[in-house]
Amino acid sequence: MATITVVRPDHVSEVSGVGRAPRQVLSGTDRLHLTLVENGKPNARALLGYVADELRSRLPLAAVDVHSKPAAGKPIDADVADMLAARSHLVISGVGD
Amino acid sequence: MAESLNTVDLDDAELLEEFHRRGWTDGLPVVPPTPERVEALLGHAGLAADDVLGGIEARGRSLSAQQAAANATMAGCAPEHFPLAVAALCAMLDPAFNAHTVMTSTGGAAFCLLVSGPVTAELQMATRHNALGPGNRANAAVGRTLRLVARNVFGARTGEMDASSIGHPGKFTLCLAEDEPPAPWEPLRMELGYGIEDSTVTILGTEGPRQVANHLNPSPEGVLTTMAAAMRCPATYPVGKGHQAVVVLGPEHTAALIEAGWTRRRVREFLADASRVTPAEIEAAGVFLEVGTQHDMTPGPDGRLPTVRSADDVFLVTAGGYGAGWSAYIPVWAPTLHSVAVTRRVPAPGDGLPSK
Repeated sequence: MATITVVRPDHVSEVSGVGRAPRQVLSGTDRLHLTLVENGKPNARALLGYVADELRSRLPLAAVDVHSKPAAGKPIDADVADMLAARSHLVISGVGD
Repeated sequence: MAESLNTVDLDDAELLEEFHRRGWTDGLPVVPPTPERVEALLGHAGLAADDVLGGIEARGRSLSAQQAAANATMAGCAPEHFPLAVAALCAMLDPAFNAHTVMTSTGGAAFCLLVSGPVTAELQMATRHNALGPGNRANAAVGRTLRLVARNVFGARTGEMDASSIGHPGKFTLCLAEDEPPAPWEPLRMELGYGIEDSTVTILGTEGPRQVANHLNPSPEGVLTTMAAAMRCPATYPVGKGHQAVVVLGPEHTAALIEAGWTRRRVREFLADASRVTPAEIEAAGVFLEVGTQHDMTPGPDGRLPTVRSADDVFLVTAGGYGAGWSAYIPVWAPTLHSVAVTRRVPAPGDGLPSK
């Protein structure tokens, strides 16, 4: 078999994996602060607001907040991400259209 | 098959099939990126293999000169095309362009390149007939390079990080070279603050081009009102929200404007105003206005909403061959909130990475 050497055009990860961020152990949900991130699209706020209302009514959570991104097409700024991480035990994001 | 981080040995007889199997192509055949071909591109541009052109922070990835050269080779670039491709890639990776979203959006955006300056003649680019069509190696290969880099380095593939609902053929390649306008108009690069001697490439994330016909009306207002009618179509997502746009003026329309004494500034201001729409026009097309979202759709004092954010957001490019009176319109796929055009100076051969 004749072979030809080619330069790889793709990304090859040299990282086998990354560990999880430190997580605070909670004995119950009564102290849990939950943040939902909505991406700014027309139905995201309505959907996440509904989810937040349901979570508040079903679970004994300390707080459920909805954070609105200013633009769906841009990641949350690093300082905002730090702020959300500092005040939240769990953040749910990734809402699409 | 011997395989490393940088190279892989493949069965010569199965080479193209293997490239397709690995998802390394855009569906069309590619030129095998042998080390010799890749080195020829790097050497012509004056780049080392591990030079970094830029990256996308949200994806945790960067683009090396070697990866760029491998994909440019695959796209069909000859060494002399590579400095232009490098400049375009550096523009693509400027955070203001927001490549992460341009590559991912369901709207399906192309990397639209506008090339202005002496490099268009040096590379014998198509600037007149078929300026947006097939048949020219530099136009085709340089534009295609960006798409292959997006696929192979940044994961912009169907089912992965390219969520285009429909997409369009411009996603294969979309590279427009300016035909230097007749005096007294200055070329695009000068309007963007560069010198007449510079060569530049500007990138925008766009929908597909629409051909704009006005064969019988020679008045500037007639020509531009027709263009504005194409711009203000409510079916175009950013209409009413404020985006950027490319207006390609064919030679008959350009002549009509210049002979009537219109400046480029006046043309851009006319289009920015004439393309504004009322909320009623948008709703009449069945499109709901966004309320309380990321996009502010509050009408201005004139009761209308912007199509382009401002006159400065109209990128006026003279191109195309003589015919009956054709121009073209290429809208950016999303409002300026998400992405804006970025320009880079094209470096001379051997000069390495481009400057702003």
